[in-house]
Amino acid sequence: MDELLKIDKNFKIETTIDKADLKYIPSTEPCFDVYGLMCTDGRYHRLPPEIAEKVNDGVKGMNYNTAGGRIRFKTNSKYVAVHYNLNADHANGHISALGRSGTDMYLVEDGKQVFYRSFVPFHKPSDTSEQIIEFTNNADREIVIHLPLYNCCKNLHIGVQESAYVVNGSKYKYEKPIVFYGSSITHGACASRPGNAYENHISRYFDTNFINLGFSGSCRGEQPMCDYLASLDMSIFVLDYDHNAPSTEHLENTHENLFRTFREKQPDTPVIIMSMTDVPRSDEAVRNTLKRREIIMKTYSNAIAKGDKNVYFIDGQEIFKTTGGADCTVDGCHPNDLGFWCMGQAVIRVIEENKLL
Amino acid sequence: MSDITKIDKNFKIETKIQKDDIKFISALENCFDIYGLMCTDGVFHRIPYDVAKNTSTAVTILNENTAGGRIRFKTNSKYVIVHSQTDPVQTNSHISVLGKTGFDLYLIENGTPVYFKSFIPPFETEETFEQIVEFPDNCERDILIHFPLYNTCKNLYIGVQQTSYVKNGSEYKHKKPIVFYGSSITQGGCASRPGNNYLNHISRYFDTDFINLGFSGACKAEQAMQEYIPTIDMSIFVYDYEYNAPTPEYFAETHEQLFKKFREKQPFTPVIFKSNAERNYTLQELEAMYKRRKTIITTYNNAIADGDKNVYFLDGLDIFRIAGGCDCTVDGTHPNDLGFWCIGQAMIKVIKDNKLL
Repeated sequence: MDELLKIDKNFKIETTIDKADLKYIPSTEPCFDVYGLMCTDGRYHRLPPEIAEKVNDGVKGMNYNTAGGRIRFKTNSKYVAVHYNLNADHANGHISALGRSGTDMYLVEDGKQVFYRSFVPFHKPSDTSEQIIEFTNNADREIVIHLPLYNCCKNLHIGVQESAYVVNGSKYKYEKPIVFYGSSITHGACASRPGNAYENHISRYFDTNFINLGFSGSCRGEQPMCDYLASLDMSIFVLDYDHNAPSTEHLENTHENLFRTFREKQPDTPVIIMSMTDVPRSDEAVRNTLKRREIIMKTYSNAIAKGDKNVYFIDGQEIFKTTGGADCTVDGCHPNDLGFWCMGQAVIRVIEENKLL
Repeated sequence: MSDITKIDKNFKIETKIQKDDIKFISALENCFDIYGLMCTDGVFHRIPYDVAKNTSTAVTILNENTAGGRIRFKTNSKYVIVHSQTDPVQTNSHISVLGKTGFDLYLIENGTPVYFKSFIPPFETEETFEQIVEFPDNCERDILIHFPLYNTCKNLYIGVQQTSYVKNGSEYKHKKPIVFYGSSITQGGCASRPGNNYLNHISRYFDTDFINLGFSGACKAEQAMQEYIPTIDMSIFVYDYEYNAPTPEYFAETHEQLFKKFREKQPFTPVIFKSNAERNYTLQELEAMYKRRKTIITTYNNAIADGDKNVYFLDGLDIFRIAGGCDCTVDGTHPNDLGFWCIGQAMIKVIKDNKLL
C-alpha cells in the first residue's frame, strides 16, 4: 500500500468516464511494472533514441510504437481504466482501431495469463484514448495490459477506484527477455488485438518476458541495429528478418552479417532463424520467396558447419500449411489471429523440443 | 464468349481507377453466378423483404448486409475491379473496414477456392466502393469474390479488361445450400475479411453452397422467421441461434419451437445444433450460458427420444479447445480468425463424421 503514498494526488487527468471514485495513477509509478519498453518524458519507446536515429527514419518514427509493451500490476479495484495520448491516425483499411491503437487485458490465474476483455477504443480519430473495463467485484486481480501495436503511447495512466490498492504484480518465470527482430509481422500486423501478436503466444506459454523489435517495413539489418541487438541481455534471439530487405542481394549482404555480429558478442545464446511466412501467388513471388529462404538457410547451415550448436531454423513456408494456407493472412502477407497462432506454435515447438528455456 | 454480347457497351461507370481499358459489367448479367443472396432493383439482400419486415426492424435493416454473398465467374482479364454503391462506413473499433465492408477474392484451383487478395477499402469509405485486384498475366482464372459481411451492396459492377472475356465459373459440387441461422457471430463479426467467416471454411472444405442468416443482435426466432426457414430448400440446417435471445427463458420458449416447425416441413434434413463457444464469463454470464446450453441439449434429447435420426449437437464448450482457447475472440464474445477457424473445423468434423454431405 505504501506505493500509493508516493502518488501525487493533485495530479488531475481530464476524464470522460462517469465514475465518482476514479483515481488515475501514472504508469511510471513503482507500483507498476512496464515490460518491453523504455520511457523518456512519459513517452514509451523500444530502442534508445540515439540508436534509432542511426538506423533509419522508419525505425526512428516507429520506435515510439509500443508493440510488445506490457504493464503488470495487482489491484482490488472493481474497474480498471486506461488513459493515454496517441496519434489520431489510428486505423488502416485492414487493421481495426483495436488492432492498431488499442489495448487488451489478461488476468493472471494460477500463473497462466487468460484473456479477459479488450479496452475497445474510439471510432473517431482523437489524440486521447480512454476506456474502462469493469469487473463484477472487488476481488484481488493480477492484471496484464498490452499496449498499442501500431501507435504511440504517451502519458499512460491507469485508473482505479480511489479506495482500491495497486501493487506490483507477479514477475515472469523468465524475466530475461526473448528478443524478436523482424518486419511488420513481428511488429504485430494484422493481429485483431495486441495480445494476439505471435510473441505473446510464446510469452504466455512459457511465462517469459520478451522485447518486440519489429519495425514495419524498416528492418533491414543495418549495422547499428546489429550492434545494438548483440548488446542486449536475452534468453533467446528470434531472427525473423526477411521481408524488409529491399532485394535478395540486400538480404544476402546483411542476414549473415547480422547473425555473425550477434555471435561475436553472444556465442551461446540460442538463435532461432525464421524465413517468411508469405503465401506467394505469382511465379515471380514464388521465386523471390524461395531465393530469400535459400539465403536465410545459408546463414543457418554455415553456422552449423562451423559447429554452432545453438542455432535453429524454422521454415516459414511450412507454418500455414496445415491450417488453411493463405486463410492465415489478411492480405496474403500479414497474418491474422489464426496465422499468428500458427507462428506462435511453430516457435513454441522449437523452444520446447530443444529445451531453450 | 457469347455472353459478352449481352453487355450494354454504352453504359458508362464513373471510375477513378487508372486503367484505360476497363469494361464494367453488371453483376446481374448471366455470365455471373451470385450465391447466398437475392437482388431487388439492384439491391442485394438475404431474405424476402416481407419476411424481414414481419420479423423485426433490425432484421429489415441487416437483411441488406450481404454476409455470405458470393459472385463467381471465369475471366482472362489481367485485373478485376469491384464497383458498388454502399453505405459509407468507418471502422468499428474492433472490426476493420475490410472486415466490415471489404470484398475478398479467391481463385478456384482444382476445385478448392484459394485466397488470393482482398479488395481493401480506404479507412473511411464513401458511397462508391471501388477497388482493384491485379494478376500477373492473362491466364483464365476461376474467380470467387465474397461480398461485405457488415454493409450493403447496391448496383454491383465487375470491371475487367475490354479485350477479356467473362463467362460462368465452375459450380459447387453441392448446389443445395447449408443454411445457417444465428447471431452476429454467424453474420461474421469479427472476421478480418469475409472469406474467413466460419461458414466459408465449411463451404470451401466441402465445395458447397450456403446461405448466411446471421443477423447481428437480432436473431430471436420470431414467428415470421420460424415460418420462413423451413421453406428453404437446403442440405443441412445449422441452428446457431442462442446469443441473441434476450433471456434464457425466452430462449427456452423459442428454441424447440423453431426446431419443431422446421421438422414439420422437413422431416429428414440434418439439423446441427451448436451452443455458444466458450469465452471468459463472469459468474452470472456462466450461469445464463449453462441454462441456454441445457435448453439446446433438451431440444436435442427430445428429438432423439422421438426417434429423430438426423439431429446433431455441437458443444460450443469444446470448440476453442482445438486451438488458442481464450485467444480465439476479439472481445470475449466475437471470434477472430483463429476462433472462426476453430468453429469451422468443429463443424466440418460433425458433417464429415456423420456423412451429412
